[in-house]
Amino acid sequence: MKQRPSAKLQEGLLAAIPNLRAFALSLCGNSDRADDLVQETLVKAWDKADSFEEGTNLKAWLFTILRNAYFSEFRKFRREVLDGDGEYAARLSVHPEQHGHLDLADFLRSLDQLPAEQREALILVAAEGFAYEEAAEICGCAVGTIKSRVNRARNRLSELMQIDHPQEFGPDSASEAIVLGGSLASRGGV
Amino acid sequence: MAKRVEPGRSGEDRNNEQQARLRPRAGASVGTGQSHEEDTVSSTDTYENQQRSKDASADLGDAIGSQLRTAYSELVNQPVPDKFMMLLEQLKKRENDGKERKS
Repeated sequence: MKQRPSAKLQEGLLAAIPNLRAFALSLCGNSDRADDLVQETLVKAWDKADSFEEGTNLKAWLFTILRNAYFSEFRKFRREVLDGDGEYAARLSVHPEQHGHLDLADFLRSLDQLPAEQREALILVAAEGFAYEEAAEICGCAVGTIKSRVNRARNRLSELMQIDHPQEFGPDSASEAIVLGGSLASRGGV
Repeated sequence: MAKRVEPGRSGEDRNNEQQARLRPRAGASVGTGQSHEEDTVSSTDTYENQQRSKDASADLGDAIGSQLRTAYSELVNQPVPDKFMMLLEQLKKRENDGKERKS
């Protein structure tokens, strides 16, 4: 007999929406798709309410549902097909009141270049603050696997950031000018 | 896509941070008692030691961790569209309708 979600669980679902959306967008890089994933997650959570043990980590339970939904679809469609060019940036730039969104967009573009498993592990541990053990449970893999994914994600991001921000690591204004000039020229801007 | 228009923001941050680290050292020598500005750097640290301990990869790791958290919290703080409230209302309504039909 299916149980209606308790008032407490309903409240928890509502409260988790912002984090679910952020996680979904981090995973798929497409805001429409991300919102679809969150809606799917909420419906599934509602329908499976009786399989949730009150008192356990609701956010971890919801994240598990969401990432499973994402990866089951991910196997059918390649991410590259779903992902619009610069979708993060486009979405974020409609909120100009927020500070530093250009840097944020750049950073998300780097994040976007990580393999899905590494990006997921990094977000769960470094951004959401899940313990390695919790992240491992959410992803259905060993703790050691999560640790190594997080490490690889960090290392890869470091490399990407070095490429994206040459002026920070090798202050060479001449080569910077060439890079900028080149990208403008390639767009027919100069 | 528009490329960066504000290069090196975090580079500036890093410079500021470095200055902040150097400041208490100068302060400590004249005993102004401003060491609370940067508790993690002891006054015995030499400039060379700081440079050596300022391992590039650790620094980068910190920068990435904090950028990640900043970026992610911006995502979390995006306003939630009404459609999610409507969905939860629909789910509630569906349960209620189901119950009425049964009774």
